[in-house]
Amino acid sequence: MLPQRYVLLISENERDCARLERLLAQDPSFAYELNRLDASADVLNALRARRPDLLLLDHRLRRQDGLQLLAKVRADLVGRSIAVVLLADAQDQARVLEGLRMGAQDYLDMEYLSPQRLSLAFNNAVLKQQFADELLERQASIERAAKDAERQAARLSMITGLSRALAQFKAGDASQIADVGLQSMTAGWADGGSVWLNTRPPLRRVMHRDEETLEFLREMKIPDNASLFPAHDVGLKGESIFFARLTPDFIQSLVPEYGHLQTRFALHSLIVVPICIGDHVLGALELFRDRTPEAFSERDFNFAYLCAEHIAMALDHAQLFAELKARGESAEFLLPEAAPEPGTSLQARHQEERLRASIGDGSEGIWRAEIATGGIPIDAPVDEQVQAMFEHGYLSECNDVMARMYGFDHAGELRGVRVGELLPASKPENVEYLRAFVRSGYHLRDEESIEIDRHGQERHFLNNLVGVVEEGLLLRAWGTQRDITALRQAEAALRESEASFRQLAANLPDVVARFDRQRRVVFANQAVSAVFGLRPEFLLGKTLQQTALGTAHIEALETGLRRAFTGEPFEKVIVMGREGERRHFQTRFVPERDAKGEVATVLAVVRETTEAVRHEERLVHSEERFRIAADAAKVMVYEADLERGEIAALHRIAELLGYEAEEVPKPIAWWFEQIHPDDREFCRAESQALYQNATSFRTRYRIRHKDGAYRHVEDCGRIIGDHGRALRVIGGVIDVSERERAERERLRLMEHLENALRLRDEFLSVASHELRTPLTALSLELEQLVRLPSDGEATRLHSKLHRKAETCLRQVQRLTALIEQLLCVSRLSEGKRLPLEFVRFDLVECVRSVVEELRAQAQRVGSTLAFELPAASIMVHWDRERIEQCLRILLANAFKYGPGEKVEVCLDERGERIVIEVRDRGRGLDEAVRERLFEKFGRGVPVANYGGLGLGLFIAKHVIEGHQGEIEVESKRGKGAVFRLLLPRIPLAQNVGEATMAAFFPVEATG
Amino acid sequence: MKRGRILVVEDDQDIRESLKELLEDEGYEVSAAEDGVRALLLLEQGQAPDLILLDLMMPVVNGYQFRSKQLEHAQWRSIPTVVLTADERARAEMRSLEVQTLLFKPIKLEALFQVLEDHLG
Repeated sequence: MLPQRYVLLISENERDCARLERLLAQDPSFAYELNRLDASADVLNALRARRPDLLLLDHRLRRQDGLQLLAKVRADLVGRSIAVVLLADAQDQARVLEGLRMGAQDYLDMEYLSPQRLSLAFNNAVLKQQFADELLERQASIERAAKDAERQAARLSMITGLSRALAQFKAGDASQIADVGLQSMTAGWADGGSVWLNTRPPLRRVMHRDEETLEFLREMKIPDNASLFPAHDVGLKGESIFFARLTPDFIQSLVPEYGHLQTRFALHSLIVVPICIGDHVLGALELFRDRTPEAFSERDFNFAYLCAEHIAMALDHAQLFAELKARGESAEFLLPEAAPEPGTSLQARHQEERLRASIGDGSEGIWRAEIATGGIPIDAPVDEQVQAMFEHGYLSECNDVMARMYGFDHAGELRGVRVGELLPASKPENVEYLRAFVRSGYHLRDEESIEIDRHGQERHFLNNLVGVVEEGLLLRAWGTQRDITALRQAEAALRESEASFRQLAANLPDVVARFDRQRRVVFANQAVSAVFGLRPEFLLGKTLQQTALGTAHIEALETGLRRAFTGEPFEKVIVMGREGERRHFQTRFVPERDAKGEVATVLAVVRETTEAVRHEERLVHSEERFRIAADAAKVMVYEADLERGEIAALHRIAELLGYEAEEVPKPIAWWFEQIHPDDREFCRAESQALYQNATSFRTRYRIRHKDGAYRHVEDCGRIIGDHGRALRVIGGVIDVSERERAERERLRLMEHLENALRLRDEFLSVASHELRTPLTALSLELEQLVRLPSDGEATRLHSKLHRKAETCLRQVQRLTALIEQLLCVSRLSEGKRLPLEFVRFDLVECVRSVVEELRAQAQRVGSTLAFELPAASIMVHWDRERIEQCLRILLANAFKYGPGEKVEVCLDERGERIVIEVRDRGRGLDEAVRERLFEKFGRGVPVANYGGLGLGLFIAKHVIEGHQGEIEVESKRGKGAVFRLLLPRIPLAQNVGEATMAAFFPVEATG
Repeated sequence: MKRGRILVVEDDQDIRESLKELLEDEGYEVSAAEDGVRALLLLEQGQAPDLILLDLMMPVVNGYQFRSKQLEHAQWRSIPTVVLTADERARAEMRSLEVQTLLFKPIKLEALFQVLEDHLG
């Protein structure tokens, strides 16, 4: 189905028409419906009857000018927007151009017509027409928008002015006047300040001055040439502004109206001030009081006038705006951005008059300042003007209120004061203030100045001033000011307190947050991030639900908030988390009320008490454990209150002292009575001392059991005090009777043992003396016998005697040795160390003498005893007797266990150690035996084969070890043995006297 | 020619007489006392000996006591004194006795002779 096109054709050329028809039928894109119209037909009607997509117009009409027809079509509303294609031929260039200019979109050269050309022409034409239509549409809407904008601008300026006025009014003293009412009233006029009245009908009608209203006005005796205010329904929708100055009396007289107003607004009085520019009244502004019957003050009037000013300007601009716009002139300057022409003398004079009228008593300071030099040129540079104001400006008039603001009593004291004195030029704010005054065109509103009063105190004032300019000179200025010092101070204090609150809140570990009525967070301190892991920035403006706190948290907090918003402070402990991860939060919700006494915000303070709670629990646990331990340990635990002198707590007394806890009297004194009399004094004295100084104690005493017997106890504990004052004692008492007994027993045994040892030592001493004495006698005699000359006559007898004496002597020597060993060993077995006496001697000499001594003994067993004498002496610091003893023991063994074999003694120096070796080629020792060799009674040989006590090596080991040396043996069964002694030349930790040291190591030792 | 004068202080008779005989055989002039008191008397009466052989365990006045008395007297204190004793503990006492030489009982003649030679030449 092809898209349809309805084409209207106006042509008188048959051939052209037929051709067109044919060609149109061939267009593959559209299904054309061709309607041929007679030239004489009413084309416009046809267009209106059915709007064609395209009009084909042959300009070569006979009865009329095709182009004129085109003009007619184009002039018509409908025809204006139809695509037109002219039919022409090549020679008609001029005509075609004309036609195009007149609004045809395209033309067809009928001479050279192709289907493509046709199609192209049609499409173009249609498109162009569409574009043209769109453009028109757009243009129209732009125009509409422009008109709207104009209206809006005018309205805006109006409203701007009004709101400024309202703001000023409200900032003044809102408690006095409830509201500014823009009342819908009618008819009124002003004749420079007298009275108006109002009725209901809307102003519009009055504007039209219809008969009805005029009649009404006449009845009211209002002259009908009175100027009426225009009704600018600039967006105020039925409200209108008008003015009157109504006194309460007049209002009274308007009983019906007043009554109505009174009912509606609880009105008692009202003032209305004119809104006018110069003498031209624009409207009125009404102020009413809704509560009290007081008359309005001058101040109220002043304010109303001020508002009226603003409104007048706004209205004026709006009207002018409209007028100018209607005239097609530029009116932008009237828009709110444009500042009023500086020094508009008309406005200024009005304000001046008003201010003068209201100078008197008010609550605002009112003043006039003059320029001493006569005036300041307004085209002078700003800073010059400002300078001139400081220097030459002076206060010419003011009211008492103003004077009081500066600490004077009445206006007279302030008059004549230079501006620079009140407004110090040193303060950059004041310079700016005056600059602003100049720049604003000498018209300041609500500017703050910082001035000095007579006491030198800084005061803040909020000022309105206006300058009076005439003939290019600023002559004077009028102003009002309000003392906002207190306000500023309060603000500063508030800021400070706010800041210090924030500081406090920031540093609190507790979370502090404030919620508004919508339960949104309006403040949260840093602690919230430490406690809940949320940044304060992310909480602001959100309700609890919107925060990332857990559901449990939120519910708990919500409850608290709800309660607090009802005005009830709420506190609870909120527990969150699972077992083991519980956290405790002590939360307080405090309602905060506004000036009206309603709850405006709620302050929430959250303190995490988890640690404290855990601590508490731990304490309880630890107390439990302690109690269990105390139970198990059978300790009587007590707590004494020293201030009261009583026992505060007692635990497990029964086992210790046989009483039940209830039986025991409380006073501490009773306890002291139970202490054994012998211990009592000591205990008392000790306690006194402890109370002064100590913190803990451990003491023993005897205390009486219920059965009368005394028990030994140990009492230990702590004294808890405060600055040297002992307050409490906490202690544990255990029965140590057993221990005491054991202790005593031990001491007794110790003593016994010591006695026994002493006795033994004495015995040994005596025994050794007793044994040795007969031995000495024997030995001496026998030796002498042995020494008798053995040659001569009595030789045979002598030699027999000699031999026998020798034998006896030998036995005596053997006895002596045995006794030595026994006595020695008795000492050693008690763990006592062998007493050693160190002396300096030559080891070589010592060994040599021992060897010589035993040579005879060696010969008797058939052994040879060899000792290789070292070249030099070897000086040592040992117990000579004992070392000799050791050597004798070793050599005796060597003879005993290796008879007939060679026995060698060797000496060697290895640095600070001396080595003594005794080698034999006897039966040797195997490993098992070697281990036990140096033990007491340890034998290297079977008892059955060899005698001897088995003490020799035991003793030797002790002696050598006493010298900090070592004794070792190397031996193999059947291969003999080497006994080696290794000793330090000078054993340490002995009393090596200086003399000895010097003897060993003379200062100039040469080696 | 006498080799020297020796005073033997010893409570056991056999030992005392044996020593006396032995030393006289060696050519020394020997006086003997059986306890400390008699020894002191001998010192007072006769010439000071060249050497004293002193036993420690004696009745009445023992060797320790004698020695301390001996040391108090200027003319006696310098007499070389050799202690003869069966008591091992005496070694520790050497310093307090201010004695340098100790001979343990039973006495070896060789040792005795050596000591005598050392002191008396």
